[in-house]
Amino acid sequence: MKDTAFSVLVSVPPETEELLTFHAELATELERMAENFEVIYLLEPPARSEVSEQAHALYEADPGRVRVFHFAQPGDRAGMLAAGVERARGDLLFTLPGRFVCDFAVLRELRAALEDGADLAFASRTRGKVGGAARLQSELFNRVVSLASARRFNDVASETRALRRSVAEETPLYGDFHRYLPLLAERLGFRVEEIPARQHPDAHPQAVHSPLLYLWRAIDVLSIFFISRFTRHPLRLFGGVGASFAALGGAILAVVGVQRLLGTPLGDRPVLVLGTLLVGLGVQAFTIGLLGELILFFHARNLRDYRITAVYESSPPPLEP
Amino acid sequence: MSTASQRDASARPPVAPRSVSVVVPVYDEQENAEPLVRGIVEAVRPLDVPFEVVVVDDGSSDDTLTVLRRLLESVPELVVIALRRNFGQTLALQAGLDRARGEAIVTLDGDLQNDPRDIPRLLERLAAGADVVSGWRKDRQDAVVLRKIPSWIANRLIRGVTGIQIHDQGCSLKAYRKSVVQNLDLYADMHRFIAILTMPLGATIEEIEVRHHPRTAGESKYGISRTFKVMADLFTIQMLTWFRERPMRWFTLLGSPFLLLTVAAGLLALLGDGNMVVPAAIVVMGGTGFLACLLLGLLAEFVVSTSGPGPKRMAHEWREDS
Repeated sequence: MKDTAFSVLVSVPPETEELLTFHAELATELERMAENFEVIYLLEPPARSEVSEQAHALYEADPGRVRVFHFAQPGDRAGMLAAGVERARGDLLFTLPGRFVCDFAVLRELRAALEDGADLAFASRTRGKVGGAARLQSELFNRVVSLASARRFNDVASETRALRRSVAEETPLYGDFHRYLPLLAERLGFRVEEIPARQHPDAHPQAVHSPLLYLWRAIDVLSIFFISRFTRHPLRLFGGVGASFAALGGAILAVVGVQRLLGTPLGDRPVLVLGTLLVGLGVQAFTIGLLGELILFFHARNLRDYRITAVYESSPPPLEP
Repeated sequence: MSTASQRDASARPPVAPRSVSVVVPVYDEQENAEPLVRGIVEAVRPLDVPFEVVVVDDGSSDDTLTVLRRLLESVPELVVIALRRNFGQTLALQAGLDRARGEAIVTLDGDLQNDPRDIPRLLERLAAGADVVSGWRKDRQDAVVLRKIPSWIANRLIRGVTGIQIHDQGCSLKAYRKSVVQNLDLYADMHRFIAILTMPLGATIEEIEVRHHPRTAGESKYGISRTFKVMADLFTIQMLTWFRERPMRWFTLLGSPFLLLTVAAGLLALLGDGNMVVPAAIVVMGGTGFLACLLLGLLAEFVVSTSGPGPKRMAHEWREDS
């Protein structure tokens, strides 16, 4: 069905309680934008029976415009998104979290941004007076991500986005990297815009998360730092770290060596262990960087990091085979 | 003119390329784009070989693309590739090389500092049997401190490290047989080292003096920071050249300091003043480090051996005349 104006992919977490209200409000907004849209609910496993029932009821009420996808593997949000994109009928896509976050009016602004030439537009939540602790965390998180990626966004992990199908299809997503889709898409040359959006009145920003979540986010930032700057220069990072360690360790060993020549016994000097350890770490980091370069070199044949917008040539083209 | 290859180019019958692609990556060169394309066409058309001019617009923010598209009406040999954003010179060049169809490929910068009138001379040397012909800006028209001195140091280092006797690796004006470059996959900032990368393939590299003009329009995209990046990349490429052939041997060599430390600490324990704790700790750490290097070497062997036909193994194919 090629005449679908746009597809809305909604990730529905297991703890969702208000799917019916959510859909009613969303559909009202979408109907203002077009008649021929579809909403695909991606039910995150393990979906509670209440959530499944609510989603199914929505499908029953409007089978032409509501679709419900069930998944088996918990935690694979990137895979769910990819499955949704693959089966979506529209070429213009929206992604939304299955709970109230941004005022739905922003969807029109996101679509307008795409009509003006952007490839991906996402809503940046302006929290106002709501959720002080959550806002502080978000600001801190976005600042750290900006430092790591050298690209300043105010709300990079916002799930309220509009994007062209090509963005979702060309940007490799795995693990939790769907959160950082704007950063990854921009690396591929897609034009990304951030649109400020009012927070939905019923939004309940969570102030405290599990400690494990903070750990995962910190690791994400480290991954983004590497992906943004060093995926084509692994030895620059690993070699730099390795050289620093090895130089420090070498200096320690040199000092200890000179002291030994001047008569200080070596056998009971723990600093000798420190020097050896640093040299060891340095060489290890360096060798890992070399291994990275080797992998990159041998896989460069499959890498074409550039993206072509268009090729202009006369007809017939010169030197046509 | 100097020949950098170990082999004699005249030892096999010369094969003149039957078509030519001139590949030029450009970025924000709206003033230079038209004179550049027209200069190339004027230089190559009299040679009476089919040719194309492949200009890659590397996400220019000015009107470069508009100028190039307008030129298409009057220059049928022109092919314009527009990239989605500014990906950098290496990837822009790779995009052009991927699209180029000529048997000979000439590359040059888009800033008009290279002179297109030198292209026929480069092609002459290819026809005479060279696989790569590199330009040498002997009378370089650039700032002394920011460009010429860093370049001189970089070239001395490159010659010393790689043994390739080319005076001017940084000169973009080069000519290649397509069979040489089609085996190269460029990433990061490798465009500066194409000649070095072709050496392990057994390519015959020649160097000829070319003209160089001061920049008259547009702005240089590079600063002195480039020198440090070039040095880092040179180091990486040299490491790759060594390690990709016999990774296990080189990783073992890298681990040898651990072995030395282990032996030294062992001797210290045996011959020292009787305190065994620190030397024993060093023996354990050194031994573990050496073992880790050996294992990484094995992993590298695995990577190399499972990576399919790399450039090395294809060398024999492109040596065949066609």
